[in-house]
Amino acid sequence: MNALGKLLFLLLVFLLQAGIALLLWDGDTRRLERTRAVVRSEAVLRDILFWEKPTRVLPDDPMAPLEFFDLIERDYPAAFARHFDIPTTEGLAGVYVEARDLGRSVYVREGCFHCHTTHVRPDTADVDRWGPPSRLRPVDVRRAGVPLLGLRRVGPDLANEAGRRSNDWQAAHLFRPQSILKGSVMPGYPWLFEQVDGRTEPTREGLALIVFLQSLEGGAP
Amino acid sequence: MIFWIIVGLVAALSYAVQFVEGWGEVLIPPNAVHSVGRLRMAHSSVMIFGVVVNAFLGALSAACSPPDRGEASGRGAGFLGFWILQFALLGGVLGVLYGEARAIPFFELPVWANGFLLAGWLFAMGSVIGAADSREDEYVRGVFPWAAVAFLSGLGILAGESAVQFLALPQDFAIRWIVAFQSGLFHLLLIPLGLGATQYIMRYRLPHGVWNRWWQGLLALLMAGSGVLAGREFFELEPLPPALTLPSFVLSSIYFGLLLLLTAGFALALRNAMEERLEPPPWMSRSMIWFTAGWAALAVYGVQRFTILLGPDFVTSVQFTDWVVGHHHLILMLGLGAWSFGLLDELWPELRRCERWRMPLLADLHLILTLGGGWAMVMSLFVAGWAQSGLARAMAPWSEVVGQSGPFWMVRLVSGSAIALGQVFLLLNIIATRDRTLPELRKPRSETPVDPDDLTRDLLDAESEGLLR
Repeated sequence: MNALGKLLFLLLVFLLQAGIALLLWDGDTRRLERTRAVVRSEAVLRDILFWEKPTRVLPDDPMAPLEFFDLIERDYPAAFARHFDIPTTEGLAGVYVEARDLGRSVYVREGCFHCHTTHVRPDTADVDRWGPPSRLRPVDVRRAGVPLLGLRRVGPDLANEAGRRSNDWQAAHLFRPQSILKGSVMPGYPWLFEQVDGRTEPTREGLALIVFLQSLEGGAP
Repeated sequence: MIFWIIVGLVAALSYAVQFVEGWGEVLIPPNAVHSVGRLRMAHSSVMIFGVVVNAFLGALSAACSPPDRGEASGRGAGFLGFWILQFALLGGVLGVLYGEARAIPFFELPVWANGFLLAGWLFAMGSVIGAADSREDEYVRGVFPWAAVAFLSGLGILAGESAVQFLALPQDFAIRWIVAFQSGLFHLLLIPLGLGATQYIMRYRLPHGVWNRWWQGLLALLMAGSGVLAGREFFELEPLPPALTLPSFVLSSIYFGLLLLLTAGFALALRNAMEERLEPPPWMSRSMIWFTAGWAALAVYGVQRFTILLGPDFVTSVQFTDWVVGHHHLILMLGLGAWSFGLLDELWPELRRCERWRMPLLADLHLILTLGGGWAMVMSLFVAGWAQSGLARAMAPWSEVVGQSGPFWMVRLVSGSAIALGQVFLLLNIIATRDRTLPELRKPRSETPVDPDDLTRDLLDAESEGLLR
């Protein structure tokens, strides 16, 4: 009886271990299933996720996304000129950095990082859905701000948000998310917009937030 | 503490309502101060600094004061520390609501608040040292080491925060510092505070053996060590390097075994302590339920920590889901929160010289609603996390991932409302028990055991009330 008990105990331990092993196993079969699921789902195709986004080199240092030029030349030129000082093309890099950094502080101020992450962990299923993995950069905290990883995803990850959607989409979505995505739980941010000549346009902070969102590539700057 | 509980819960319920199909917009039109993100930051800051920190500072202050509640050294420092902390928090929360937040989860208060919090902390530390110095007995020697460890850890956290803000550290180093270092220090701050507080409640009559301070110290250190590794593993960019995998596993295995041992030891010690204090000993008093529930939460938390270190698959499954929020609520609300309420349950009637709460039914309802609501909320967050993880890994459309979370958020709203109702009952009871004019609630002096400390207190009371003539 004693021996039978020991045998049963060993069997139980074995089953427990096998269960844990099965739980932790992430073999080729599951990878294949995941790849098929990518095709079935509404997620952006992997080729697009890993697409190298076009940028334009500014006279000074940074590489600005094309959406930044769309914003100042086509989408909201009057609003941008009203809120940001753009004397010459030479000063464009400075304005881009100013708007992006202000946008980052608006992102922090509104607590966006509580519902959106800006970090794609490498070697996980995250990469299939959210694009290239993020790497933290050895940049100065005092200049760039404390890192923004995020906590959980009520909304999607934004690590590779740059260029995925147009400036207009971002503006309309920030003003009232439900007008773009039915059933969205994201709150609207109407205080980032103002009425000018009967039109609803982003304020200085609204413009900056759009520039920041369009700058997100491989994580938050 | 009670003021901040009400503020924190109002903030939490306001943003929870906004999550459920935009109900919040029906009640109050969208505006910056009332937005989800800002309320969320105010909620966590208030709950950590306003509720838990105040509860433990108050308990330690009472624990280390002379038994006659007379003049103790460091009272001025305590007064200053208290008000600096309250005003720094109030200013910080208003700053967050009006758009001054910064981006470190759970430390979202404006940068300027750091210095004030640090100053308040130092004054509070000075007052407890001063009070303990006025009372040199075995009892204080049992409680004080915990207070010292907790205070120093808090100092480390606040100083580390300031260093990250003001020094030109690289971002990748800063995040490692924040996650790993603070995760470790948090354990050295909060667990000793809990242990010191439980010892105070049990009047340092706990039997030695399993439940002695060396074992507890070892537990706290192991928790800190595994906290560093688990924090690094959980939030970090990549899985732990192979060189750290085995140490982390060994460390958390020892920690896990000790935790089980100490949880059992704690239950026995509580029972023995009650037998010494009360005749006949209750099978289970309300404060025992609070403390046992806190330890149970700590045990579940420990199991999770152990699981985190078991494999990267678990980490990547639950990372960035509601599971993380459940994990934080488990330790902060059901662990430390339960201990705080246990302290209050024991302390308040005693401080008001009452034998028991004015309305015991309300005290029972407070316990049932807080623990019931708390566990319902935490479990709903865990299940929501697993559901989100499964759906996300199966590459379900994001709208479906969010849509499936809705019922869990509804459970959270209902359980949060239950918790809030419980706190309203607590507030009513506190106000009622504060009334010292009710003669039937006065502590029956004749039944008080003859204890030099109690005798001194009674004499001083009698003198202050003009009874000694």
